[in-house]
Amino acid sequence: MGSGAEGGKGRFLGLSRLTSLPSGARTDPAGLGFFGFRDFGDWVLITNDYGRWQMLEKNDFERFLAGGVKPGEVLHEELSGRGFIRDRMDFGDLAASYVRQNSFRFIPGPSLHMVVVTLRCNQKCRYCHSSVVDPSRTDTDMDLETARKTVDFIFATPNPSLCIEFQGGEPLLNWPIVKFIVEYAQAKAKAQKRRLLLALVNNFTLMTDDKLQFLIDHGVSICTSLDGPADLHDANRPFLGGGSAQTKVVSWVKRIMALAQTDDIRKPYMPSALMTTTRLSLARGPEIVDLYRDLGMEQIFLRPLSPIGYAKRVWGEIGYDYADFLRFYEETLDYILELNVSGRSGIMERNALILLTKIVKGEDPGFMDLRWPAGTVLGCLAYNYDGRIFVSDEGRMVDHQGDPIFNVGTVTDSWQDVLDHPTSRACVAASNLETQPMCAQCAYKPWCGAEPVFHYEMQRSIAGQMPTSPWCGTHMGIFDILLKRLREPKTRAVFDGWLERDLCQWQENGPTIPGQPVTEAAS
Amino acid sequence: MDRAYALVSGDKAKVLTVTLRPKGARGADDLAALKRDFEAELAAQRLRWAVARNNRTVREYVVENALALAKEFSERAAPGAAAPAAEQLTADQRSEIERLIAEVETEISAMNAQAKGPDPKASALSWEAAQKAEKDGSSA
Repeated sequence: MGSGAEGGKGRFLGLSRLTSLPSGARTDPAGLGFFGFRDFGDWVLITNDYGRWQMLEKNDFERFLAGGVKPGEVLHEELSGRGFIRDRMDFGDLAASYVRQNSFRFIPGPSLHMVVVTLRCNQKCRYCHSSVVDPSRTDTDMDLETARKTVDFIFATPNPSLCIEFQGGEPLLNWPIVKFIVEYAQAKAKAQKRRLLLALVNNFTLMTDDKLQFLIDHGVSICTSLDGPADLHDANRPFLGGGSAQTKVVSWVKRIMALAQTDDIRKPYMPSALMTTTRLSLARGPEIVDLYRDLGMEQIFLRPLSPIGYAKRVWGEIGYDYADFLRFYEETLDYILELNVSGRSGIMERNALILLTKIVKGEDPGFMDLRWPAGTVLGCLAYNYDGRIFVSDEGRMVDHQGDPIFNVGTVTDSWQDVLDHPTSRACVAASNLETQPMCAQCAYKPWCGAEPVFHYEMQRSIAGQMPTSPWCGTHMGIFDILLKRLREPKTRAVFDGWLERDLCQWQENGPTIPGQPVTEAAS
Repeated sequence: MDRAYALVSGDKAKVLTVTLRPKGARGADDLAALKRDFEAELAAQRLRWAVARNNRTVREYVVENALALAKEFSERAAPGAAAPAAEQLTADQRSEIERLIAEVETEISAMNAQAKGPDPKASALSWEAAQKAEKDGSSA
């Protein structure tokens, strides 16, 4: 049990990742509103259900615990205004804050629909989550009938705002079906007056001018993978035919960036890239950031590797302890912050942006991995090439390894059947943090989430065991790192600038005219 | 974490005794630290449970308010629209979809007809080789 918040990092000898009370602290809980706390040594973070929080000096925290913060004190006003004093609560204000923080809980049905149009891929990424097959396996291409039924199913779900994301395999290997889904979905969105966003995740190796023009014309945003400099990227993501895949990615990113710079309307479609951290990346954070800067990318997403699907098999070669990831994350984030503070670059880190949107703005950024109940089914669904539906893309990957546990139906079923499926219900029940030991009391509960598929893969339990969960360790560590930097005026100013610049244009949350591509960013 | 086996005995309405048996060989200092940690965790849990118990009604009330508020917001945003509007395809839209389907079917047939060998799109070639092949093909 540490007195300071190192719970997310390194080796634990304590009984819990939660921190203990200050030694000998006197407590008088009668006047205290509900709160979770986390001890950072000299100061303590307190949070509540409504997403309100306060950083208290240690002695103020002890006075708070003992009921010693009295009316008339500035601190008393601050604590009351944030719902921490039991007899001074503004219920209407706290309820509004709760709704803003947890808006996803009040919107019916999934917003994010990941469509796997083929399992074929021409890369053999060392960690590939997507569980791909050889390019010759055209039997794993989605056919027209299934594509149509998939779109029909998506439009039978009730969320007024839909995002269809093309995944693979490499989706460009089944280009006619991508085109069909784009046009058919846009026609349906127009007819149903629904908001629709479209996104393509691809490796750029099969991109052509015609395809790019189609994507731009139809407002499809483009995302790729870029793990870093050529030697690192190509080692992580070997191309089946040999040669450098990174060169191709960089070349297309440059081209699309140049196009986006010349046309304001296209700005929202500036390509984004996902970076996956493998063992090879751990010592190369600044180099990776520099590549993104050189390309003019606005953000970098420092993502940990998940031991799901194919990555689980090769974890011994490319995986790492989550404490290693946290070291990498902290060093790389500090490099990014230093670039910002010195004015050399304005590049932003996306993990930080997602969490800061929750913490500082008190809003939901629409990120599926950090919500509870989990994003599975309630927030997203994955559609396999054969029309089977999974609780998430990770759930589909588990199926590809031979375990269909996360299959919740097919595109010929009704939305109600999928929602009522025992696996859907189990995932929701298992991911309620109010019933999760440790999570229920954690200071990060208002901003955190649950991941049934990850814990099934790691701990053979969809609920998971948080005190020993690397998922919990990773997220708690990232929260710790960000909260410490939020307390520093220089880095806080950088974060505030990021939140101002970032329009939180998350794929599943952006505004659109029904049936039309997004033409402006969210306000 | 995962440092000891715990045995809880006694009557929970009166007194409970917790016996901790460390995992692996431990010295006297480790045992003392384990006891200290357990007692500190117990003190924290006592506070957490008291705060949770005292605030249960308040928390439920705020969430009830939140539910009512969210309903009000969604009705204001889309009056009377609990579910998406039913699909009303116009004749033009229907014919556009039929055209689209026919076009994709033709495209897929053409793609299959062109397929030569197991990798019709040369997707397994390196980018450089694929570009060269494309260039040679188009200039031929």
